[in-house]
Amino acid sequence: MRVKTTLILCLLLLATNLGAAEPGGVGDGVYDMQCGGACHGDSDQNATSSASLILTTESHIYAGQATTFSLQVESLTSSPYAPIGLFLLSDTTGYRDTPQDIGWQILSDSKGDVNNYIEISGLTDGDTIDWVLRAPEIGNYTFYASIQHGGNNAPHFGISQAYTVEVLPIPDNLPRLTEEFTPIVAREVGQVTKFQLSTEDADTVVVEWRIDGGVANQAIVTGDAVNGFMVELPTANQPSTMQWRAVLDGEGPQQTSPWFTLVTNEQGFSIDETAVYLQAISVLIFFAGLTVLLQTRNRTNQNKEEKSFDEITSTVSQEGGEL
Amino acid sequence: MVSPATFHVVTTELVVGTFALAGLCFALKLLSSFNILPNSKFDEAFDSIAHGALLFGLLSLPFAILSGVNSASVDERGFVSALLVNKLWLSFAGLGIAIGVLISRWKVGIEIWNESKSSIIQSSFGMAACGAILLTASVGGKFTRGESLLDILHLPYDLVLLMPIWLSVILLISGLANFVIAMRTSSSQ
Repeated sequence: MRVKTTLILCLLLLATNLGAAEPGGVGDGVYDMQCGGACHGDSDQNATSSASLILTTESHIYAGQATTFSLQVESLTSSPYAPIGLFLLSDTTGYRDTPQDIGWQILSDSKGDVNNYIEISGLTDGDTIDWVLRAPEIGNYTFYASIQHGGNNAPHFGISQAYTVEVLPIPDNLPRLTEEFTPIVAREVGQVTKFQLSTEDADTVVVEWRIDGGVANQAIVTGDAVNGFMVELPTANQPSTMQWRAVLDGEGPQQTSPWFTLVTNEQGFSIDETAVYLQAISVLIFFAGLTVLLQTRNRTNQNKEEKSFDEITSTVSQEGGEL
Repeated sequence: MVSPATFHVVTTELVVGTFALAGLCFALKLLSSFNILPNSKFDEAFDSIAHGALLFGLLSLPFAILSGVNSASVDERGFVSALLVNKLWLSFAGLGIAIGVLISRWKVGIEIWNESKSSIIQSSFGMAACGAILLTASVGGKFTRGESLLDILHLPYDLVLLMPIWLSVILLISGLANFVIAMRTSSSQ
């Protein structure tokens, strides 16, 4: 009976699935939809998310130019899932399906980074998050948005409808940012933000900035079309998120860049690692050496005292005296 | 595969437990040396337990340091906090003192307790090693949970006293010189 019970228990143990849940998320990053074989992408385990995902962008984009992809999340259940993971994807195969895999470059995301997967806590119905991407060469491209979250002891998964965009050739004389221009996406508190805005066919540039979707203000722009435009954005005194865009005028029609997100973080800690490790080793050797030296020196002194005491004792006894 | 963070928890528990035991035995041995404790029949046991526990903690310490460095992603992003730097230094200081204490005991033998001065040195350094490791653990708590039991002491964990490289090199050379002198003195006896 015991053997049978043991065998049944062993069989039950062997029948269990090997898996790992990530209830706290995996962190932002550039991930495929399956996210390294996560439970959310496994149709045997996952549940369908109630959320509806609405992905929007301009339907016609010029090659090499930046555009905003906005993702609106609706119909989330009232459960306070934290965090919620949101993807911007180029297909739904789960392998090599990031925007980068079809030649698009992520210039900024909502969190001051350049990831296609973002985790957000406290997302509510109707909230929108943005990615700014630079279009590759001419052609038609398809995009999807996907959501992953927990709730009811199941990994939930949802995917949007396909959204197709057409990348067109750049018209003549179109005032624009150059294809080489990459915006700064993060800075530290108190850091002065000054950068060169590389443009083509633009005679004048106006740069606008705003905080968290508020009123737009004008930034200081110096220079000209020949020598290049220098932009200075206001310094932040506390962690915050700023957005800025450039309005470009020239011979062609006026162009306005997408709102680029610039996140201000607390000052990071930095230190010379070599000096840290060297000091650690020095401290180790020094204390070890000091401890051994103190004991051996003490022992030597003690031996000397004993030796001199023995010498005195033998001298006294040779002379027939007593101590 | 066990993650570095989990492995770090296991190894730190080993280190802290053994060092705390060693520290306690060193303290009792010190009291015994000053005759504050009655002539104890546990005297030899205190000596064995103190040094045995210290040796075991010493063997676990490199694993704790390495897993700690890996679990805090120090390799990828550098030291992200002053606490991690102080943690590393304190653990290395504890490691150095513990090595010194064990070498001293091995070289001098049980006679190390025969004389009050050497007893004080041995016990004090043994307890200092224990203190350094307990402080390291406290900094770890501060780093992961934002609080620690030793918060009542208001220790300046955020303050980093980084020496210039030349000073570290001098310290390293003087440490090595101490070792050489100690070994020569010991072998000439």
